[in-house]
Amino acid sequence: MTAIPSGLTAYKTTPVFTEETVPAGLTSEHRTKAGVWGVIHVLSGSLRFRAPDRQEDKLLSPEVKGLVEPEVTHWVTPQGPVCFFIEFWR
Amino acid sequence: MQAPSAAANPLRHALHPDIDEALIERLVRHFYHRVRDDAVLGPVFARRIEDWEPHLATMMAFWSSVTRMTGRYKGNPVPKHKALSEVTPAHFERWLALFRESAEEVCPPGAAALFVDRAERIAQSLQLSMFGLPELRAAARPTPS
Repeated sequence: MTAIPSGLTAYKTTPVFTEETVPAGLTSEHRTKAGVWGVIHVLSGSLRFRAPDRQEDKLLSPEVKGLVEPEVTHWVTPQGPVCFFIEFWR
Repeated sequence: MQAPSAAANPLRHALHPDIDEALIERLVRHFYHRVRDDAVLGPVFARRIEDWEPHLATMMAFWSSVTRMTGRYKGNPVPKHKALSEVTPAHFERWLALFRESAEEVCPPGAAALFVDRAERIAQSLQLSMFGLPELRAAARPTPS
């Protein structure tokens, strides 16, 4: 079980994306930077989150936030209509 | 403002059959009318908003995106809230209490419950970003798969 370490702060957030406006970089394999954690907030709908190196394949929703550790390869896939944003902590 | 119709994508639909744009407008106008009259929240908004119509239009687009999947809202809500240096978790509690009462006054019960559920989760997300509350950090943990 992981959590954002104490002492970090949220320093950047994306705009709210939909399945039609999500940048291609988020839906193809990419890595969080060293020392940077990502939190995926789904406001509506659902988003499939995959991080094979962490054996993670899960559905994110308003009830389930996504947490991405630093330097982890991952990508998201909209599951139909979705509305979400990503927040970066360091 | 761009307003792609929900019909443009057949998968897009309201999360509750009673929620349409007219209901969203009634709720937003009613809620912010109460906010402006509120002793705790009124001054926070009054310091920043002179012309309310653009703000109300933004909030209608936001709730349309969240409850009807229309994609109308394209903004970034977090920085605007982080700039509110005087805002504390108590302000969020008051905001949620007023929103809950407004939803129950304006909406049929099922629609009201859905609006309130989303409002609570969004308030949690904003507070996580603004205050980094430990209990909210824990809520961001992934669930065991």
